[in-house]
Amino acid sequence: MEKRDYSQSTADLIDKLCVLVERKSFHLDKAKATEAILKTYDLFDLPRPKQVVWHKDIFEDTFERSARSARSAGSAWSAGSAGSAWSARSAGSAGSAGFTALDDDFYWFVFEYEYCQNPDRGLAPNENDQKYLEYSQLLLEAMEVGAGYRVEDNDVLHIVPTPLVLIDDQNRFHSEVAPAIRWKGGREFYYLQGESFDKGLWKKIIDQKITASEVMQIDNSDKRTIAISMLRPDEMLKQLNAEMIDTGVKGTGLYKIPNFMDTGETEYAIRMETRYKLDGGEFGAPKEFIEFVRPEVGVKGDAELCQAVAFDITKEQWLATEQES
Amino acid sequence: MTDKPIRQGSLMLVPVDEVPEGRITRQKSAIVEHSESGHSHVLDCPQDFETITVDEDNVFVRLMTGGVLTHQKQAERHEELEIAPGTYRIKHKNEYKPFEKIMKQVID
Repeated sequence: MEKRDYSQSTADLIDKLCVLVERKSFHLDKAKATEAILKTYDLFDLPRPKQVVWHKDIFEDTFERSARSARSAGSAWSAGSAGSAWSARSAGSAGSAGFTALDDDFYWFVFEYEYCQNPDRGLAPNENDQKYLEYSQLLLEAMEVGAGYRVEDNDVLHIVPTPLVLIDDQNRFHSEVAPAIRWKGGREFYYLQGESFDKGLWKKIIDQKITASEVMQIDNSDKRTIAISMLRPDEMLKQLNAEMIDTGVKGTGLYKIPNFMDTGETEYAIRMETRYKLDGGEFGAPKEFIEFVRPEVGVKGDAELCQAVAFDITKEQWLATEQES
Repeated sequence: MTDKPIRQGSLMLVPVDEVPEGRITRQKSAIVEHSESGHSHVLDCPQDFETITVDEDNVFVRLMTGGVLTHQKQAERHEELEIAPGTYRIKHKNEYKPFEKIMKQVID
């Protein structure tokens, strides 16, 4: 049971930031972005760097060296961003990179913004809070015109455009049509349900061409699960050599899967369909789903019992359910 | 008043006669199944209804008047359901993860 405990204007700010993160494209305006970032120096009475260098992505050696150097130097101003960029690169994790553009600053922007709306009693926001909001606003302006990362090193300001990212409805990097993270003219990364895949494997999965033995060769169990779950139900059951052992009175199908993914174990899955309402309010075509069930339940060979157990109710209760959507 | 369970996707409202003691909150609208993606299942009533939380796995709602259960999703959402007055236990669907050998809540 949840209730939002922050202001509407903070919710609007979060929405605005989300739209920026999820935008499909942007026109990179280097001049505007550079000026916005340089104004943050003015705000704190710091000297502007003598030189500004733009990079195509965070994987360019010169940017990486600067990020590492700025991090080592412990530069108070740039360490946060540089640290993020360096960590993302050194960990080889594009996933981190996707959201550590200028976003690190924005987490604090949101907290500070909300605090200024609803401060603690006796702790009213002061001029420093106001300054931080101005600083965040400048970074937001830079991000709006395409800046992603910035690092200052030896009087040189290094800036990298923000990557374009695609996420699913659970906020995970995900795309079945394009790289989930990409820099224009730079590196690209392919993700499904938050897990990275090399391009070849990603393509096989989305084209429904991956075989069960290829799935088994994927080392990471999360990735294995995703690879198999991305298959259409009919294709998944075919790949798994599943055998239908029961059809329930409510239409649930129960399948037995001997030697599941070459593990030597027998697993069970139920197949069901749901009709959703679409954007315009009309019903779409029925959509099929596969869910695995505990083997000790599946072995009983009763499809509707599997549904009941999944809800932790009795089979009688499950069968008595009339209002369903 | 109904004696039959009501299902909206991965959420089930199961009618019950008795409710154990728990923390009671009253509201006209509440999320009865949360989703990180924002596609929550929300119960709305014209008058306050009670949510009785015994523990994480034992949550009940008591409606004095009829309400509406909505799936907050733009596309591919479950149809709205009218909920009759009564007391219901909230149940969430779980599925088995064969690689990890664990049960995990289904999220729709």
